[in-house]
Amino acid sequence: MPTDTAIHTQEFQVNMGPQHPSTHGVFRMVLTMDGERVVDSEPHVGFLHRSMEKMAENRLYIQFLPMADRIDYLSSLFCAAAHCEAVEQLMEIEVPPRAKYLRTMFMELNRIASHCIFFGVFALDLGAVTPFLYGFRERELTMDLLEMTTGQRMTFNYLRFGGVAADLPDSFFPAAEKFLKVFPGRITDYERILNENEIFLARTKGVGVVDGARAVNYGWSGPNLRASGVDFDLRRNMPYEAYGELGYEPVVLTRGDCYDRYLARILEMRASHALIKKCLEGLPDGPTVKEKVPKFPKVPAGEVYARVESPRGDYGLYLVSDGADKPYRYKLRTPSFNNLSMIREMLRGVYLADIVPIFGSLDVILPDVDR
Amino acid sequence: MRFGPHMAGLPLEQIADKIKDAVGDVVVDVNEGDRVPFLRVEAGAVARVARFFRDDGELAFDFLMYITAVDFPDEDKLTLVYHYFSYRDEQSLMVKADVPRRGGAARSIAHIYAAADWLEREVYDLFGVTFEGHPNLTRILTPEGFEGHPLLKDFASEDYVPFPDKMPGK
Repeated sequence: MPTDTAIHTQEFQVNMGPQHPSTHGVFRMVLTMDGERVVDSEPHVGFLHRSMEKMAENRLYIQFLPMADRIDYLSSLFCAAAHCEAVEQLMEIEVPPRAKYLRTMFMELNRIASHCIFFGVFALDLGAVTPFLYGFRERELTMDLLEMTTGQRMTFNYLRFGGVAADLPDSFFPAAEKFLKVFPGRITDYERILNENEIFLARTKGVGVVDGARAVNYGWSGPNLRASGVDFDLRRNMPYEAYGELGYEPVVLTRGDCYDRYLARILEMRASHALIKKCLEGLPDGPTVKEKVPKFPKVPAGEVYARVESPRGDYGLYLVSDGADKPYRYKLRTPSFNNLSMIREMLRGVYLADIVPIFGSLDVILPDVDR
Repeated sequence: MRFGPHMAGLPLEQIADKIKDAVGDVVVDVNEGDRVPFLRVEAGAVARVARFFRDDGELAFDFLMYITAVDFPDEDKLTLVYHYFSYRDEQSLMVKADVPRRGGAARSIAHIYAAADWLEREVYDLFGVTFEGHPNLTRILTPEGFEGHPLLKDFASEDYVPFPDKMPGK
């Protein structure tokens, strides 16, 4: 960078404080700046640490189930699914097929809801105010479907050990048909607004490029990793619930910049829509929950690692049980923690204006980081 | 990078033998486990095993999913758990190491797996295990000025008062 040696310059520190509209939660970064360029950054997390892991050690498995929803409240079904799957694996409970399809379908609806928020909020961070409410409008459609079945709009408390809490009401099917018909056109609208917008491209193309191997070394997962060219998705590679029967091809892009991370999620919304359609068409009959599962299970001693593909990445639960009715060790492997840990390396040498697209494209949610 | 479905990974015994050849006689236990296979190694060897896992061409454990600890106060030990995953072979493997509950230490692997930077800080914060050679071993989740290590079984959360000098009635 050309410098006039007669002018004295100095690096200064800017606090991107825990209260900031673009940090998606309480996240603090102390940026050391040289003019417009970031020299170094020091991320501070832990503002939203709610000691979920410690609380789980003091609660019955069924008591913690609604709390599991709140670990990552934008993808609450996935957190609950990991909790249920861990218990079901240790107790060797087989989930009936209808329940598997229902779980899969609602998880994909939840994924669409989360990606709609990402779409709206990412555009809002860059200054495009209009797409924000478009994303929320589509999210309302998914939340209506979820509310019909579970009674809740955000943290659903829908999964139970051995199945789901309730079957689909009759009003679900016409509403779902309408959603499936309308949604692809809406995604096309989103793509028309942003994908070729000059300002959007200037701010996201080539910004925050991440190499696939380096991302794997940092423990990245989810759409962030697939945007850097790593072709791995739990739904295809290690299928669980009904994904094995339905089949799924992940969205993999190659450039690894902010634009690709954004595009990966838009394309994943289309893929989720196709999955929901398949689920509804192939929904098997039968019970929605396995009979005779104890309400207060005493989980046999052992350990298990249950993984699901959440909208943020590879969400996992390492559960150690000593045979009691409460967990002995409840370790949450949350994808946003690892995704965010690379932020310091990503921000070295970028412009101040690039911080927001880089951070926004990671789709990190702070309760997932801090638990 | 395309990862083929269910390419074979090496069996556990063979991995243990390879570690024995490359790193030394550090494997204490080889266990298929009920659901996740694990190797128990000496606490002093976790860093050498990590470097071997990353660099050995046959193994390809490129993904360090998490580092955590499990507290066993009855046996007076903390078990460090490193959970590795190989994208190429789709193989999952835990490496466990026992350290004492107070003053436990292990070598940091933050320079081998970049994910370990924050993961080790979390284990230090919540369990009190120090990682030698870590670039910035400070608390990450608990607030500034917090004392104690919350996830230890004898941490009395009922007695914990946050910011005691700011509480009303003082």
